[in-house]
Amino acid sequence: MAADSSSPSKPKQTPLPESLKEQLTGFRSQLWKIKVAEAVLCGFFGLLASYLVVFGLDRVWATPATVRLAVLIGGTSLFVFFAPYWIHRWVFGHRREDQLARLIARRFPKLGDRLLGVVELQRQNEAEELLSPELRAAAMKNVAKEAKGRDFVQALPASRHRSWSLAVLATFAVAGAALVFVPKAGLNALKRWIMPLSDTPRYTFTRLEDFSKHMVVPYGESFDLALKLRDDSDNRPPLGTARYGAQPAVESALDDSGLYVFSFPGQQAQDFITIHIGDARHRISVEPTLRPTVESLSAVVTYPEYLELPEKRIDLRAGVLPVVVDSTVGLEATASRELQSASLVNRPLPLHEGLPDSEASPEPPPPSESSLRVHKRKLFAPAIPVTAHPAELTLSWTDVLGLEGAGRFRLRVDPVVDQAPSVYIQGIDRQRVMLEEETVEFDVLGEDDFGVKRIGIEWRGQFTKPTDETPANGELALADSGDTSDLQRLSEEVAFSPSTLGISPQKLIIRAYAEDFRPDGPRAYSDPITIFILTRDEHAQLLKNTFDGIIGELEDAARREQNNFDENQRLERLEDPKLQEDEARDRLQQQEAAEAENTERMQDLARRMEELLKDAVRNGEIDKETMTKIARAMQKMQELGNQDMPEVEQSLRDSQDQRSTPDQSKKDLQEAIEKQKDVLEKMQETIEEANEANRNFEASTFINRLKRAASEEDSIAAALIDSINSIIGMSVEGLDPADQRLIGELSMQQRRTASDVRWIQEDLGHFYARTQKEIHKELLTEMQASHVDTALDDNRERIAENQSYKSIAICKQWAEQLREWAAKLEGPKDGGGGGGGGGGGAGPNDDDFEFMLKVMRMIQKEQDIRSRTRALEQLRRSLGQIATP
Amino acid sequence: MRPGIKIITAALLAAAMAGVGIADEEAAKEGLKKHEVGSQKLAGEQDELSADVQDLIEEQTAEDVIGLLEEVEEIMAEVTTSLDTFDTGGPTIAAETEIIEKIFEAARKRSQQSGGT
Repeated sequence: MAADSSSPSKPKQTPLPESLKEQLTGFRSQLWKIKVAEAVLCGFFGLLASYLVVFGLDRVWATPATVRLAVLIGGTSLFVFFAPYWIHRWVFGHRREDQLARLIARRFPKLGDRLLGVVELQRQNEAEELLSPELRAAAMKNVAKEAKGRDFVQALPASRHRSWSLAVLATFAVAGAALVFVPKAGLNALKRWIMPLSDTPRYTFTRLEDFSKHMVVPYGESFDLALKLRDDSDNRPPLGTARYGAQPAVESALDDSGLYVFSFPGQQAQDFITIHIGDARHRISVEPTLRPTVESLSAVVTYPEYLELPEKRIDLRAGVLPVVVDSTVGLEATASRELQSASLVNRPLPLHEGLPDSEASPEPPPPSESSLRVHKRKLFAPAIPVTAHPAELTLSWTDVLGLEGAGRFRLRVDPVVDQAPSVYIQGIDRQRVMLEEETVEFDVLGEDDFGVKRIGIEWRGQFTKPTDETPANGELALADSGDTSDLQRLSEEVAFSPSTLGISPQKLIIRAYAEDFRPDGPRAYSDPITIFILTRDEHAQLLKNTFDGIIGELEDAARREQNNFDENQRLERLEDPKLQEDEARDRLQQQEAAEAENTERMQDLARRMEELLKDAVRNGEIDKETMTKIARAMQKMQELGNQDMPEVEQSLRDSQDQRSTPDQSKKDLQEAIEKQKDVLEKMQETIEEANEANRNFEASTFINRLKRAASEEDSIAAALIDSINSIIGMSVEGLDPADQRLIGELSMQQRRTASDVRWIQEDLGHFYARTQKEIHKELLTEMQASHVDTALDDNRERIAENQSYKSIAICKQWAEQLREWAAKLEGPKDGGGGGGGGGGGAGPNDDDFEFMLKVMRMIQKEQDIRSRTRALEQLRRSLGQIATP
Repeated sequence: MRPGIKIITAALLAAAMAGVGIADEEAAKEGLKKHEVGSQKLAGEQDELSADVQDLIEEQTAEDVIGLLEEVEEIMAEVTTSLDTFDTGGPTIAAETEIIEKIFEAARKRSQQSGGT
């Protein structure tokens, strides 16, 4: 009490009753515990729940990073923002008695107000004389007493910490279960939750091998999408689905090899394929694109060396390439798009039937495949050797987009055998006669599939009469591949002149030959032509035969003309009006046609007669008189064919004219008959003249032959006389080699002459049998009686034994005899000639004929000289080819 | 193969090849001779024909025919010289053709004159 009296002005506080104080402290403690628990549990729940959200979302789709980030922020925000706020609100905001009293007042308003009043009373600082401490204490006690019976726990706000606890436990359990039971998925989700912006791929229970997220498919073509399930996939769904854009889904069952193969119909628009396999979800962008095509393809053919041909580039449009065996074929192609790869399959096929000589096995070798070099849009196949086996080359390619080529390119390489060349002779008959000095011209044409190397001609002679001479045998190169750019065809005009090539009269078989480039390839030959190179006598005999034929036909033409004449006369006898009747007109028409036909025949005969005259001129041994007669006959035939007979024809045509009066018709017919009469007379004259010429011709051939035999004997004698000093009295063995050779040649010449004389006798016999001319019989008898042929043969032996003196005498003797016989034949001819030629007489016409004959002969001779010059030039050029084979 | 045999084989081959070469050379020589002889023979024939032309000129009275035949004779002399020097080439053949043409021309002139008289 003393203490209180010493300080009367100091305010005095009354403490809360202990019981009340304890009650409030307990209440506050309980409040704080609950609210802190709520804050912590809520934070944990947020974290666990956000993890589970990510886990859950990942199970149905690949949760994007942004979503995962949002979930994470949402989850952690409970811890970071909500918990502090909650603690601040409930812990910091309810630390004092008045704050607690207000909270209690929410549940117990009266009590709360009293408690709040007690707390207020406790804080009063008025002077002791203003407020009685005892009163305040009594009031407090009173309230404490009242509060003592109350349970403040009931005044606590509604608490959710138990719910939160359960929620946390539940989420924890779920998360724990995820981590325990599906640890890969749980950990993957945890990683993706903790680090939402990392590129951790989403874990799926169904796991596929890696595949491209973009694919290029063939435009408008159905395509497959194959996805392989990973071996370590936790889930192996038996079925998967895929959908192209908004199109109906396509299903695929898991096959034994772990593949899902989705087949899509052809697509034209770019879109995505959405794939659902188990929990795996994928999207692939698809770009339909046209397949790459080959825009150009060419083969580079390298021929075998022996062909000496340059490389050849062939554009391949067809699927077959014929190539000569032993070549190589390279391929070059340009695609429509840049290429990634290309390959070639070479499949040899069974042997071609056209290759019988092939040494290759009939069974084809196994196919081979090789990859090809590609550069941008081009592909290159290396050189493929061409064997006897045909081969099928299959080219395939893939572009940089992975698309295979639109259809593979197949090329069949057909091996071709280098065929033998072919060669022809053109521009000449299969058989031909000619004089030694003549030149025949023809063409030689050689062809070969891969080039003609050389063409030429070969000849083989054959004597038609026994002789010791060696038959001609030779060849002439005409042209080679260096002469032309067209290797497959080589041609040359040939001027074949026997005298230029030193070929004596004989039968000659000529063949053209061609060589190609095949090593050891044999020559190819043409069909042969046969040329009979005639002596002048033989030629004259041939002309004689031709002349015989022409005369025969001329006589025939005259007979026809006579028949026409007779019929025309019959028509003339008809009465005038009847001549214009149909029947007569038909007959006149037939007469006109018959006349026209005969005119044609006459023209043809005239042409042949002209040819004969030319040949006779060429022969040079037919006497001038005979030639003149031939020329006259020819001229008359030409007049008949070109002038006289057409006039008859015209008159006959006029007589049929319907506009003519009967008198006029008759007059025309009479005119025709008159003209025809002249024609017949002229024909008769021509026949007579031709027959006379023919007789002279034939006789002159004997004369000439006899004269030539005489001159041969003279030349033998002359040659022996020239060498008489060195050969007389010598044995053949002792002679100088040059003289020995001379003796041999002269002996041979004698043999030939003996043979000629023998033929003259034989021909005379035949001639007499036909003409029955006494002179020929006499001559034949004389010759046979003289045994001239045997005598000349005997003389040959003498010459061979070098009995020179006697040989000279005998040669001279027989030369004289032969000339006598020729003169004997000439004698009667002079007389006959005078009679035959009497009609024409000598005059300016004869001069003209003679001039023309001379000119013809000159032209003929100059033409021969020209042809032989050409033949010589050809020979000279061929020498160049021999020198440089 | 032993070296000795190799040498013999090579020698034989060389000899064979040389033989082929010689044969070709001989054929060329023979052909050349044939050409020369033939050319000279033709020169002779051309000369003879030239003499015939000369005879024919003497028989003629018409100036233009004589003129043509004289030209023919001249060209024939030219051809004879060419052939004598073994020139059988294009110019010689062309000259021969000209001869033929001119003889034809002379014949035509002559026949025209005969027809006219």
